[in-house]
Amino acid sequence: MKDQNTVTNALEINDLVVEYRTEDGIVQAVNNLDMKLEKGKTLGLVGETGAGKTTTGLSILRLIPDPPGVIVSGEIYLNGKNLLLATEKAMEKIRGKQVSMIFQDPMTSLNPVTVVEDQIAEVIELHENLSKSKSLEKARNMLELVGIPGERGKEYPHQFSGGMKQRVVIAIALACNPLLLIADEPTTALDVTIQAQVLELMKELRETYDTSMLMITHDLGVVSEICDTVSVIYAGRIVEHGTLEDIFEHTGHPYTEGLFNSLPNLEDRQSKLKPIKGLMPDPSNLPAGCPFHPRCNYALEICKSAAPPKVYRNENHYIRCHLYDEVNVKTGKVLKG
Amino acid sequence: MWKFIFKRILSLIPVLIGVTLIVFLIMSLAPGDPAKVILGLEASEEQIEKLREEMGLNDPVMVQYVRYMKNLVQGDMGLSYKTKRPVTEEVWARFPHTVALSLTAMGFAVLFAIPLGIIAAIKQNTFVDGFSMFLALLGVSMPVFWFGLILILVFSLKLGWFPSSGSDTAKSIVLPSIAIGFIQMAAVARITRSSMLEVIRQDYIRTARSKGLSFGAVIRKHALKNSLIPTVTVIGLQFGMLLGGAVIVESVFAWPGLGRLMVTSIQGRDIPMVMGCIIIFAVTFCIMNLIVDLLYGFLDPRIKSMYA
Amino acid sequence: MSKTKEEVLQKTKKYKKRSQTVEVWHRLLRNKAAIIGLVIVILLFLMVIFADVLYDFNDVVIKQNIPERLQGPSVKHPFGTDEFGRDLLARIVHGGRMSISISFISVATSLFVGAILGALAGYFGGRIDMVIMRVMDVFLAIPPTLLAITIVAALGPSTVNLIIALAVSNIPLFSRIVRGSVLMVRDREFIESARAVGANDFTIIFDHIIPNSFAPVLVQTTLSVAIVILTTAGLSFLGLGVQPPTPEWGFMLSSGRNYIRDHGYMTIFPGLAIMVTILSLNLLGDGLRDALDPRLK
Repeated sequence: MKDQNTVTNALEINDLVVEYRTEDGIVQAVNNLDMKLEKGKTLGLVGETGAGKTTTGLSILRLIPDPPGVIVSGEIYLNGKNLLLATEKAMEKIRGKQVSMIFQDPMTSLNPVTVVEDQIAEVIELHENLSKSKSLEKARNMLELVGIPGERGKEYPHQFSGGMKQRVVIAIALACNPLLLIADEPTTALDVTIQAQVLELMKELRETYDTSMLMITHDLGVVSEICDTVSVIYAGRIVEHGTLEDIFEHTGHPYTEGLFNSLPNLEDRQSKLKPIKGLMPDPSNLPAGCPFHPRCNYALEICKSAAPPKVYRNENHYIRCHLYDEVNVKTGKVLKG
Repeated sequence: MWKFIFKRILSLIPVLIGVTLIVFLIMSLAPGDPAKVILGLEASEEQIEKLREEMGLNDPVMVQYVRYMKNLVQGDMGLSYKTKRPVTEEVWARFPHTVALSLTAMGFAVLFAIPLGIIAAIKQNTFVDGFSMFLALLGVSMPVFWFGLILILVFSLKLGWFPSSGSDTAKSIVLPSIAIGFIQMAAVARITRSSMLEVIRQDYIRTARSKGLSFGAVIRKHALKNSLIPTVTVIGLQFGMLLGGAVIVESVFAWPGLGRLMVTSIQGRDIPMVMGCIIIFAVTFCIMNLIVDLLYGFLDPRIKSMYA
Repeated sequence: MSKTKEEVLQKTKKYKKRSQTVEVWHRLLRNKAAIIGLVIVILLFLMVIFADVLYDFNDVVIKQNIPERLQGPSVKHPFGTDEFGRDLLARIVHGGRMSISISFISVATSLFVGAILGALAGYFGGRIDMVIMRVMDVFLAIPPTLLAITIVAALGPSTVNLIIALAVSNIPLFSRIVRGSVLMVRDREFIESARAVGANDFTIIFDHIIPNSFAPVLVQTTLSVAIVILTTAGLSFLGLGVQPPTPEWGFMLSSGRNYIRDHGYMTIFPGLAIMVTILSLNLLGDGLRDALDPRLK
């Protein structure tokens, strides 16, 4: 397992710890997070707001606002190279070229006083050593690729709708054919129909460019559409990870079960909604032991004091929960479902 | 684009009319009889009444206003009570001096304030930031005429480097423009800093960084233009303060500009001259605001779109 | 039934206001610069109230005392004496009372009139809004200092006319701010809900709109008081404001000007007094602005 050399993986994160040191206390945003993403695949990072998803994404790009954010420890390997050891100058070469990120709110992600083709051409000119005019040409091609007529490149962001703005953002992110694309809730701010369009677009481009993708989302529907593997994040650490089938068909962790149960049942309209009781824990004051235990229907005494270890159900699927041991994890369902 | 410029110029006209109307109405509240002032103490009742009829002083205020406006657009602002010469002459003679002083002061202010504000924002919470903002705070807390007097005390009386009054030599403009300019610089530096801080927080700055641009390039190519938008607005507002300050500073430094003329005319109860000065000031301010508006439109394409 | 509904509404309103006020107060206290400003402002207030106790007006402040004229700072006269032998510190203290009282009265007037105009314009919109705002725009097209000078020029220099001039020149600013706040609140959903439970226009304005406008108005008031003190000083410097022998900082600077060469203290101290006052008000105003900024929550 260990020699599955890191070169195979587009992204590998080991034991990442990120804190925000504020006046009101230390916020533990990411706590010993592990992650693996194979080349050409898409990993869904699923969790509720405040779980540390965006912080994880920003850490890969080393764009955590500092102050007050600090990457305390851990390793982030991009195609084998540890980004946390790179110099700032090296990171500037990597951002936009090997790793790109698209953010949640397309309305504010673009510079309002610059035309869109310039904003796309900028990243091309920066990394690809092309002349200004060649970069613009390529920028217009990118626009066509994302479904926007090239002539509209001379317009300003405010002249586009939300969905189209997000397409421009995608164009910028993919312009230099990065190895890894981090998409932070790219469709959350969009209408449902537009969501579907943008997801389709992302799937197409992924095929064309063979881009590895980290899809950050809280929407299980999006996950089922586009992801190969899934990591479920809670209070800054991964509580369950596996393939799409593992997570959807063989749900292990009580939190993951809770997420699925929170979805309304279209077939049984009479059934009650089953929300997860309680609230997300305060990241500056996390519970001891397993962070989910105050809200867990299955909590054991040990959960209050000891952090649960990883228990592997198969090669890819692991669960961090005291309910499981090497034996019962392979056999049957532990959760009531 | 021209449509935008044209529309803005057009909207200036009602404002100018309103301004002249207000100034006229306020001045008409002044006690005293202009005819008496002109003819002097020995004049008889009939003479005064005759002059009042001639000058149209017995007509209703609005009629007098229309008459004044008719003359105004032909370049006639009446005769000074004191010198009996056309107001327009005197005003035009003095106006360039005030313009020279204001432009020098504002130019000096903006030249230093914008880089200072940007640096303070980039190095937020460091010594550079704290110290420069402290100085800026002192700057906006000082009365301009006091600062002028201190400058005179130090640089003119004690050190003898610059003249303390008049406009004879090129050096004469230095102290008055520093007096006005320093305070303006303080105000503009503060807004530049806060505007830049605001811009740096925006999402599109994060997008720019994620493209791999260095911090300096992000500031230059993305933050700068956006942060200038509120700054330009404030510069326009400050220009109004500057005109008010010019009136006072000209008195401190005996600078032969419009402000000084206005003050002496007020003290001498020379109403037409006061009117003339105020109207020129107000019109200048309006035109300055128009320029700022146009600049605003050029900097922010969303504004231009609104008028296209 | 409806009584309990109202009671609940009232209780939630009060609770929200109280915890918000406490929160703002805490944030203000964390800002050291603002505290300094606040402390100085309070001290100035006290100085204003007790001015007569400290220095008798007729005996010390305006009565001439030629033998002691033009003395530099000493133990007896910490700030020196002026050209008529009057103690400068005493005159500065009483001058402060003049400046601060004048600015308070005129800003309060501006605020009152401006708020009414702004609220009417913002709330009713349409024609009323257009008319009021056009008039305000015209007034704003004249630099405020110039407007004040114009009014004083017309009415003649006196303290009352000064107050009127200052008040008028600040009305447009307050009306703009209040109108802006009203517009922000008017179309929010909770106003619709208030109407849905039967509140009338009057109640809505007083219970909802005014509390929401409170923040920007408070900040602007603090800053406007500072600006008005500066303008008062400026006008008095030109002889267009408070008339002698009543002390006023600006006027003291203009008379000190004749003696600037050898008696610089006559220029330095009144100016410092102005600067310290304005500085403290600016610190307080900036601090209030930061503490009340909803985005920092």
